[in-house]
Amino acid sequence: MELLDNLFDYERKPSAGEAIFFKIFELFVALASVKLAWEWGLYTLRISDVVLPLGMARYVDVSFMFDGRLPLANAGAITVLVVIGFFRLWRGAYLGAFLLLHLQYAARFSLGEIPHSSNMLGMTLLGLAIALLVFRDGLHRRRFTLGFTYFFVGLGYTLAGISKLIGTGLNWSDGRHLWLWVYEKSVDNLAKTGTYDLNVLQELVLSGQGTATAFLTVGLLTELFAFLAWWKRTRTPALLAVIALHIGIYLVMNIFFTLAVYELVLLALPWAAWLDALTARQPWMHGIERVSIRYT
Amino acid sequence: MTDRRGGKRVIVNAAIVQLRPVTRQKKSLRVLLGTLLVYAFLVATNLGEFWPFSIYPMFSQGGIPWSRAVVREVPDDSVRWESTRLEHLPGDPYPLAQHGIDHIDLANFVSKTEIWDDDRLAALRKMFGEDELDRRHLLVLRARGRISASDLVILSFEPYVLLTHDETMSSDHLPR
Repeated sequence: MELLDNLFDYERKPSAGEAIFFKIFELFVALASVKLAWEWGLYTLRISDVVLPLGMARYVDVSFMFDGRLPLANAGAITVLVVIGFFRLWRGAYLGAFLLLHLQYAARFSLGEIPHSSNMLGMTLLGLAIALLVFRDGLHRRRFTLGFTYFFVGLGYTLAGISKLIGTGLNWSDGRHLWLWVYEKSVDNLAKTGTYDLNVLQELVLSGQGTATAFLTVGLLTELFAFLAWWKRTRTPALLAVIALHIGIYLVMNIFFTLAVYELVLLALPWAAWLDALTARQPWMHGIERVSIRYT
Repeated sequence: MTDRRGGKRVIVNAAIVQLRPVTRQKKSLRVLLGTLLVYAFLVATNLGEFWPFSIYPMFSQGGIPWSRAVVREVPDDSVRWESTRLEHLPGDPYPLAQHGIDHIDLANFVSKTEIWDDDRLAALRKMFGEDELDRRHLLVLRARGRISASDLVILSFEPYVLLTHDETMSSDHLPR
């Protein structure tokens, strides 16, 4: 039960900053979901064949999404549902948006790519959807959504670390593995931009096996210990370490999970406390607080 | 501790107030465990992936050779269908991002296609768009990387498909 206290923290006194922060966080999730829906929808117009079925595409032939403008209609439906959910006009709206976004994902990623950049956002949208359906009280919805998100963010990164230990073993951190990935991502960059360059950090990890091994070891430990985000006391350092991991991955391997990093920044830092301090100094912030509570 | 109808009401209300946090937590725990169960079931029965549920297996296998794809704009349809090195790639770079094509999609399309039949080649053409192919000759190459016994990373590029405005030519090495 101590873990549940740390995750959901129902006993904590509600504050203006918390209510405002939650609505900002929800706005981020809503906008990001709409962005993905349209990006995936527009790209699906280029697709005519399923190379690797993912998600529901393993059970349902999603090639009907390749005819006409259906992906755009689906993106439109997701947008409408997200707006309805955001303004609390229908409790099932976010669940509907989540299910349609899954369909959009299954259609878009049917060519073989299995991206993970949107998983965290998807889990958060699911958390919001469940919170709206299960809880009627705004405070409970806020606390549940954030607790649910902390839990699955921590679990996700720790699972990534465990997958590496299962997939390769303790020698996953062997620096030569990183060399291979650095060249892989450089070829990706050649395909993407037409240029083939190695930056200073890439040159550094390629210069010696020890450096590359140290880099991978720190990354693996960061992932394995990401479950520390479940506890209040260790949450901020665990999430900041994950953000640093993403920055390192970007510099060495040219991979950046933009939406995931933005969400991690929202989850890691004490925004609610900062907003409380601002509200204490700026009385007009109470207007925003009232609107935030009204739509929670 | 009594009101007009006696003391019981106050005691009952106090009990409800005390129980509420526990009820909320129990409800949250049930939902969390239920989601976790669905998560575990879906990833266990779908090779580790069922968006947004995943076991996050990316980069979990260290040291194994990789496969990607690059595209070059070539001046004509005279292609040497032989593996080449990075510094000997034919033609000019064709930056996929500038043309709205996801390079990872193309890489997976190339590496995961087992049979290069007419439908698959048509799907590749659609990825680039006929308007684009009216203007350019595009050569799709499969890139491979591996570590040699002497700890060197070896890169090779094999021409797979040439797309022109009126033709789609593929390497004889591809299974059809």
